Amino acid sequence: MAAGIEIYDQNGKLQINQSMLIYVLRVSGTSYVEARKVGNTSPNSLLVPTTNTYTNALVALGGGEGYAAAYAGSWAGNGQRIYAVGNCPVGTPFNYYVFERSNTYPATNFGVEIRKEDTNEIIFSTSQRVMRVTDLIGGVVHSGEQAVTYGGKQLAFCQGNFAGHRIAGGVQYFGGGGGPIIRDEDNPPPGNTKRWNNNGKLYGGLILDGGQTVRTREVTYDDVTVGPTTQDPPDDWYQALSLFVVDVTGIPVGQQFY
Amino acid sequence: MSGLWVGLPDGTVTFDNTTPVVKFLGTATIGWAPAGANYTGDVQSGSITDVRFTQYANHVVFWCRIDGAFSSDGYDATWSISGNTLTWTYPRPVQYINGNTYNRPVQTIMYGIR
Repeated sequence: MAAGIEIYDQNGKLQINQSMLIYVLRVSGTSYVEARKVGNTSPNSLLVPTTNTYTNALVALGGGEGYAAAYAGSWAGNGQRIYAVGNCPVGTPFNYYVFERSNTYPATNFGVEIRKEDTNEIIFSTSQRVMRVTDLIGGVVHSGEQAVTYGGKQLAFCQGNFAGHRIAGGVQYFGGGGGPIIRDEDNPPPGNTKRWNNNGKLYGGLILDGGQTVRTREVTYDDVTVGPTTQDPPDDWYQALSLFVVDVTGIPVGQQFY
Repeated sequence: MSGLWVGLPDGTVTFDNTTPVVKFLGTATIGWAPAGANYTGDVQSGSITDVRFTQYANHVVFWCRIDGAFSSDGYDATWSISGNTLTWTYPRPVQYINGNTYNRPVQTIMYGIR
């Protein structure tokens, strides 16, 4: 057994020790869907304030009135995290929860404080709000959604990575001059141009059942027809989703915690 | 009641023996940057070994992108865990398609256990 303090849960699983940082809540708030296009086919999007400042944070989203949000990178306008929401109406509110590593937490000289044995960074303080990750769900959403439900809880989802797919439909060969499309892909007319239907989605999550359920979902991002062109479609790809299910029950929304 | 219990003056419990806690272990940056940053260069795959991945009972390893970029062409690395080794692999070799060069985009992850 290591020296110093160790705290375990009711099942004997380690919660806190003196060597591993944890994640704690830094700020919460509400952001609203705006008419800001991302990708080629998501007309609306959501920005998460403060995420241009807290760049190492884990960000969870709640609310959303049953609409899905999928991480789409950083918005060039201000560096904040941006989420594609498809046709989710402008003005729809999402709650956000920004968690940072516990070593960013200031000393309070109050209650119990546990520090990292080698660097003296704060691991745990009784005045923190610890990030509660109850589950990890995800996978290739195109192959099937996943969901978890906790009765009586208020849940949020924290998207651990960019995820999605791009599937290029079969090439359709033009006869040229705007004539009918010739679909014989095994024997295309020489010199003709091509086009294909692109299925491009981002993967994210949504909240259902009054906050008790988190479900994975795909959101439109690049559902376009490509061509006519002389190019071949690029290879299909799938990037699996990692979605943290976060228990945010009782956390005030609209507060700077430190 | 066993374990640690922390409550606010209004009765809100912020920590008890049911609180699931994620533990941060480290960050890693991989890939190749056009600006010449070194990172891991243009190698296609690599791994991170950490004994803490399996040191603590009933934990699982997780990883999470913390940079803002992604490849809309699907060239981001994929990650997998086996025992004490977290492995990353870029899906395709550096190649030319339709006259464009496809490299291995830089990405940074944090990893930990829960």
